[in-house]
Amino acid sequence: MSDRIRMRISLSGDVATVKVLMPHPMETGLRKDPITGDIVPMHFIDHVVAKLNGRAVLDAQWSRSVSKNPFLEFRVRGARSGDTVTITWEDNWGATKTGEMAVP
Amino acid sequence: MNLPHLPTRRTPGPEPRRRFLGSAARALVWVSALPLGLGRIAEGWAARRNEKAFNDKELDAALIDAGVPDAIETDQITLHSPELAENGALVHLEIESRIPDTQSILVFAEKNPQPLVAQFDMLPGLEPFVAVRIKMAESAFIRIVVRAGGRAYYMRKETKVTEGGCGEV
Repeated sequence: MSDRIRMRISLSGDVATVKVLMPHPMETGLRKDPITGDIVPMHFIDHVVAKLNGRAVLDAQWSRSVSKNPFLEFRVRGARSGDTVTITWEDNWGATKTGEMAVP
Repeated sequence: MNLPHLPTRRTPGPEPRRRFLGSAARALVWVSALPLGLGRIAEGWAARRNEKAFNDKELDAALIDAGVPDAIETDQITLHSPELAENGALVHLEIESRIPDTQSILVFAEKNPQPLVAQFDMLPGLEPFVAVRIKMAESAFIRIVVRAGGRAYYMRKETKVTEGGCGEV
């Protein structure tokens, strides 16, 4: 599966509703590989920042208890058609990924 | 609970040391980036992430370390969550605060190995609403704590889980 961040944005008045899917294994470090029996190392997104036109609007810190392929929804005021929503995540291994989308 | 040694870019070594050094390194990077106006996602990260609260294994300790031990119970927070979740690995939560000046929303799964699941800091322009899916180890109360106007408020609601979601995907 592509690990590209996927977004869906809808605009109602000046409020943009943003739904985000972030493909990521979100391993707790408690799960055993069903074939080898080895513990699968802990690997999870621990930080997400959402921006509107480059200005941070949401800063989320997560534990490994957020579900696999995390879903996040939020609503931001003052949005207009054509504005840019940017999502960046960072995981506990130091990897980061950024996705962006225009408000429709 | 024994966690395996983890591959990591941030800092090798056992977890507490790893995270501490990681935070210290990030703080350093942040501070050194300030005069140049650099700093992307790491901007302010080390200052904000409360590693101690996230690592706490007991709810009471997590509430204290998150700075919200004396939260006031309120009906001004709404949590939409399933009463019964067949799959503890996928519990959908929708959280809305009607408390003026809501600054942060904290999510605790009271019986998870580490109860603090997420903290959402709402910056100017964000509506006091968030939806997220979490894992629950077993049936438990989900506690939502809201920081607003220098005080903390909470509500809690039980979700029964047929199959725990922490040892699963």
